[in-house]
Amino acid sequence: MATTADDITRTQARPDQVLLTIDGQEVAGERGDTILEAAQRVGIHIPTLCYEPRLQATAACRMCIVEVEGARKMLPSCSAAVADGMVVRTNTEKVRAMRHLYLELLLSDHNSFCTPPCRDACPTHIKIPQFLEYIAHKDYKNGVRKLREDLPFPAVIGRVCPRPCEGPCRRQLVEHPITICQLHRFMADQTIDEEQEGELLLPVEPKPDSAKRIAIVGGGPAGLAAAFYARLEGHAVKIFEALPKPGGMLRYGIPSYRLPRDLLDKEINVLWRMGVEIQVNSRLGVDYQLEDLFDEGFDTVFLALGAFNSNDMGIPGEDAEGVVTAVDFLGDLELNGEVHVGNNVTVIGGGFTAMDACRTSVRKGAKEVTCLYRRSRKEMPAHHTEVDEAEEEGVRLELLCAPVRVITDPANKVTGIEMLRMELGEPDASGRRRPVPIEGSEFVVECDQIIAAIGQYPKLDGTTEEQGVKRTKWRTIAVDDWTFQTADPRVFAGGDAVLGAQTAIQAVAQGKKAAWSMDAYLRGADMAEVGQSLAELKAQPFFKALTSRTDLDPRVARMAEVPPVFIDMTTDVTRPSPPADMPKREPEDRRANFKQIELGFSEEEAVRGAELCLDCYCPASGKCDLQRYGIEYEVFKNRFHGGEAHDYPADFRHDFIMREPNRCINCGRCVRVCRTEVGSSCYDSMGRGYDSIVSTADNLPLQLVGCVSCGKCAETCPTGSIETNPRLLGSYDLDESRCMFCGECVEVCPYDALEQSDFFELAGYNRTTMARESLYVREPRRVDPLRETVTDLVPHVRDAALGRGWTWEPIKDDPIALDEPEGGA
Amino acid sequence: MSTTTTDRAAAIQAALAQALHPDSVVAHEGALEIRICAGTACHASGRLGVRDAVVEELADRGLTGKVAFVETGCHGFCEQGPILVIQPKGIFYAHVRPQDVAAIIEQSIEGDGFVEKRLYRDPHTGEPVPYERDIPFYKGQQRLVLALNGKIDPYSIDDYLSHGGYTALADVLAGDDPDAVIELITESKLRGRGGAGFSTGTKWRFARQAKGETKYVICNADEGDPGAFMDRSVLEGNPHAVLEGMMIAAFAIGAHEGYVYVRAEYPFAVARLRAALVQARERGLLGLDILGSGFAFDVRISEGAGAFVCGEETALIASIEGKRGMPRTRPPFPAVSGLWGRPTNINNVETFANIPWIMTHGAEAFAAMGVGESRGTKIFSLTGKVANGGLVEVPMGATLRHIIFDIGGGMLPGRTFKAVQLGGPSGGCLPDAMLDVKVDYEELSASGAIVGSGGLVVVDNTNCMVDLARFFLQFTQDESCGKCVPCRLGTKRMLETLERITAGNGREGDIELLEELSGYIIEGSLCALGGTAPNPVLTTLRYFRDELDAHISERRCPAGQCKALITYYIDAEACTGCMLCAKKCPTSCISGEKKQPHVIDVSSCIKCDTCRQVCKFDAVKVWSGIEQAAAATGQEA
Repeated sequence: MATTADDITRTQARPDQVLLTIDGQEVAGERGDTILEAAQRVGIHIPTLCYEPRLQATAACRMCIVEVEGARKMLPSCSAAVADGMVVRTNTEKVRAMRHLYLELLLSDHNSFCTPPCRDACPTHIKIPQFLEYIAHKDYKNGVRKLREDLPFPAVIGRVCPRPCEGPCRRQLVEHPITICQLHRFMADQTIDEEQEGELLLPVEPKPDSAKRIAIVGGGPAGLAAAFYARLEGHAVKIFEALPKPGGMLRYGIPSYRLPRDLLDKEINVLWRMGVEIQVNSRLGVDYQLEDLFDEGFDTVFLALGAFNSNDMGIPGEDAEGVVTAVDFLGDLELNGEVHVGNNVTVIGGGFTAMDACRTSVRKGAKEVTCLYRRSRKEMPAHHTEVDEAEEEGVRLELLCAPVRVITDPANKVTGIEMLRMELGEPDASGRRRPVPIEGSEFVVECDQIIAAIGQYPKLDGTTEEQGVKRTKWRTIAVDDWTFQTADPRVFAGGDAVLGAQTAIQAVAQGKKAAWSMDAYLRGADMAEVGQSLAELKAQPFFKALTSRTDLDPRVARMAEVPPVFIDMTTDVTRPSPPADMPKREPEDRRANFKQIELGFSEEEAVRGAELCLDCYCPASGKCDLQRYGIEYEVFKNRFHGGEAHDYPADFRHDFIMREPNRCINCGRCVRVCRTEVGSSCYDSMGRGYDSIVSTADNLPLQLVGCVSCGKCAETCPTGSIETNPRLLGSYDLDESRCMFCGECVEVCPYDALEQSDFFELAGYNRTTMARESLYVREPRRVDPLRETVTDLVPHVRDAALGRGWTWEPIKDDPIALDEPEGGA
Repeated sequence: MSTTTTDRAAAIQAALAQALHPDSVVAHEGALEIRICAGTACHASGRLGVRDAVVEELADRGLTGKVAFVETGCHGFCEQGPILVIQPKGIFYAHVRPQDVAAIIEQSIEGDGFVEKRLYRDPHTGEPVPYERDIPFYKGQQRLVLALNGKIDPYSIDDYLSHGGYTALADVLAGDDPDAVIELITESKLRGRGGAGFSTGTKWRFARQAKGETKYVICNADEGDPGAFMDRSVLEGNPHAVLEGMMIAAFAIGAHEGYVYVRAEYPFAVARLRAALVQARERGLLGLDILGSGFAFDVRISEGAGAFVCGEETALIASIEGKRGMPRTRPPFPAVSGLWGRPTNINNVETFANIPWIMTHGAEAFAAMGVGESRGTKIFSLTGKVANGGLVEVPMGATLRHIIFDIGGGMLPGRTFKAVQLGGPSGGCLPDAMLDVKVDYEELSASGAIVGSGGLVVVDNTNCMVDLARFFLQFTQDESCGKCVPCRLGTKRMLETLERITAGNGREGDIELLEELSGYIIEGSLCALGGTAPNPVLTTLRYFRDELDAHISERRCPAGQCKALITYYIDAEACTGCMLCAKKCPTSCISGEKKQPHVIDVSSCIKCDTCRQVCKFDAVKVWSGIEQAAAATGQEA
């Protein structure tokens, strides 16, 4: 657009203003403005960590530096005043490079975590430290509620999950990872029986009826999870299950010694009780068609068909009698209660299913069971405990060999399998080393049954591409990456049908997100826009998801979830060491039966286990400016890691204000706010050079340096270094024997909670009787003797033992208030 | 009108004349006088014992009162302390011990000879040089600020007055024209001697023009550079000159209160300054009505705790105000809003000490010295591996070669010049190719170093430049106030990188990392501490890149100083088997028969360097880098 005379007139400054250019935009700034203020006024965002409008600028963080034409150096915009004709550039490459470096420097000594690594690793991002804290409190009901915000089936998943969460657990730096998975299993076990008849432990009350209906095809983990979260949104949900019972692969793929069926039934029962209908023995494409569902009045369909087809081995003789797939083998056992097992069984494959087939064969009386796998033990996809347990039960492993052909007798019955030795070559795309055949190394393994467990793919019968259910080249359903929609906007899909055969927890994660997506669809969101927004969020990964974006549809915001925002912090997480496991049944006691192997924790063990959690997360995550800029400037790889980093002890000595100096960036906002607004001057910089840190004089507890517990320091802290503890005390009591009516408390109370009575001046007549009358103190309550022991007070777990639990999460975001008496007030 | 002005001027001059105590003992020209240096360096080398001996000896010989005895300020030739000078003969005695005093008095006071063993000897020829005026160290200097340092007793205002002290002040007060004073200072082209080199006249003008009833003058005596001690010596030797300069500044800008911010670890400076204040007040030179002119001014001493950053003017102000000494952003500059938010003029000790001379001798005389935009003289503290260390005052524009080789006497015997570090931790190292650089603000900045406060640390071939850069960076990192990110954390990460390199763990990309960090620390730091902290590293990168490369890619320290990269061995041909090294070795890792070549057990050697220092035959050698292996095997063979 050409500049006209009018334009120029419009941008002319008033006489009391100055005219400057910021990022090419003409800005009229008030005289005395700083560049930062002038920029903010016209919506140009300049990052800063130490600036706050009400405080005097210090220009300590150097994030707000800008280029000013003619200036020798970069200027800190928070304290440089505007001048007429100034040309400012806030976002040049050099400015960004400098900010990036400064963020690297800040983060290199920011010895703390944003989000817990365990939670980042979990596909459905369970709020792990939070639920562990409930276990530590022995508050299992609220713990299950918290857990079910992300995982509806803690008892089931607690038994079958490969536990990706435990790998990065930092507790292993101390001894071994927290047994996270087994702990939520323990917690669910405590509540599951009571829940069958009693109160349902839901994260939130289901929303009122939305008058929308969702059909879910497939009652496996993805379908059940989708049903759970769709129901919470108020939609009517009906699950169509092809097999006689719901549960999918949980029931028909996982043997009962790993997952007792009664537990599965009980957790599915929760869905029943929430009002989810489940219709069994109804197979899509056989008993009904996709269109029938819409005809019946369902508004959306979620295809959670699972991966029930087995891959072929692709070798001669595969059709011989005695060759079965693991899926059929395990499914038949569950369906019929019995299955044919040979005397000498060979299982091909190294995954969970292969181990299940091996160990089921042992239990069903096979004399000899051999597991054949083409790579080495380290590459086996099954969890290492599974492999160990299989060996304990007598399964023989034959590694680094691949099947060549099935050997049969004239009656086409299996007598053995010819194998070829392999060796490991270069890593393939999955990072595992590729097996390479060794010429002429064939050998024969004799057997009378071969169970093939070399992967599955979805059985998509009853859906067609014409209906909009397109396929990918991996024979899975093609869906939108963000909304889980197929080409038919009414049809969504998730779980193994989309992922291929994966873990139950991944299926749950997909079900949860798909439910939220369907909810958005049913409530009339423009899904193209939703998908677009989510894609954008992902593209600029974490920044926008963390900032409160007012323009963002709240449904989209939720679907974005809290993504992993683990900025590569200073602590190096090493390879996992084996976790301390649950007590197990002895191998002799498990070879011949299907009894559950893991025996469960005692309460004492569980509470201790949960207490070990290091709480590697920050209550400020998501609202922390350092995190935000770290993400915005993509400081994911820090060149200064490995350098020295401080490890300050956290300061929980004050009742209300929690200090974690490892998160402090020395911005000095607390120093200034305390000095200028509160007048207490509790804080200042201490030490010199690299070791300088904002602290109290001699690092005394705040209550000894004139703190009035106003919390202004926590309010202004741009990171999570200063946080307030929710005030759990109902009131303070007055020690009448010591009060001398000085009135200090009345004077100092920032909330006018105390007042003088008319009799204040006369109160000296009779202290004992007058005290209560002259100082109106709210209802007295028990006062903990914490004051006396405050110096040796260590983390909140011990606090909790004293009934003063401190939850790191702000109460307002928590659907269930921690300090409410059980069962609601 | 003009009569009153003249009257007033005459009254002021008369008051000044009255200020000199009539009974004061002042050495007369031509009378015999013993001057002993009472500077900190001579104090440390034992001047108290010498003083007592002199007093005793004079009394014994009945010379008390006949021969004047003055304990003066620093003579500047600190290397040679304790220093004793016989005037008017000009005989210079060095390294004087109490037991020498009797002979000295006998020979040089009572007689006409010398005590030869205490005369200064040329480091290269070994020839004694009896007279101060013949010593190259003094001969090459032009002493203006330090002129009275070796002459007067800092505890005596009368000494100062009788050497023309406070006449400049009286003239200024009599002239009664602040603008003329500022004009004169501007014309003299005097620039701040504290480091930044900002025009003093301009600075004063800003402070004069600043609005406000109350203004302050502050003397920055927070000298913190390692190896710099000129401000200390000026304060210790001639505190009144600084006070006079401050008074003139105060008059020029309209201030009535002044502070001297001096570190508490300069006890002599504080004590002498305090005494000077008391005396000046007694004589009506400080206070409400100075010399009857109606001008009021007084000075307080503010003792600092020794934080390097408090030499930065805003941090200094914060410190005086009782806050933690942390710099703040400028603008507003102290001239507009300084101490307690009032207009404040801050100058360095040496700057103030120049003022009386300029007022008395005129701007032209001052501007006649020096080159380009850098005029007058500058005091350098010459230290390090140089033959004659001490305070050197030369006109601006002298070459480094002149200072180091002509005045400083060059290298120690057997060593070769490698570099000179200028301007302290904020400065840089210049190699021998840069020796002809003129000491001038602009020219030095272009070379990568700075004039700074005037520290000159000479480095010879036994010093590792990487380690030297690490040392200076360690200093600035330790002294960072911790406020801004680049300085607090950036210098730390730079330091870690240098430590890694000197420990033999340098990586590819370290040099680039250092360059990036340096650039962004300089550009982004809040104050000059961070803004100059990378300079030593940058000049090392610029002039000694090969040495840095050798550390990183060859794991070799060419100077043989970085312990992780060196191996000690004994040259079998040079070793005489005297066993001295074996006796001195703290870990007993040297073995060998008497009169047979000795051998160092490398596995238990802690590289303390003792053996090399004690060896009289230069048989202990150091190998570094790839030659290490050869050395080790060669030794076994």
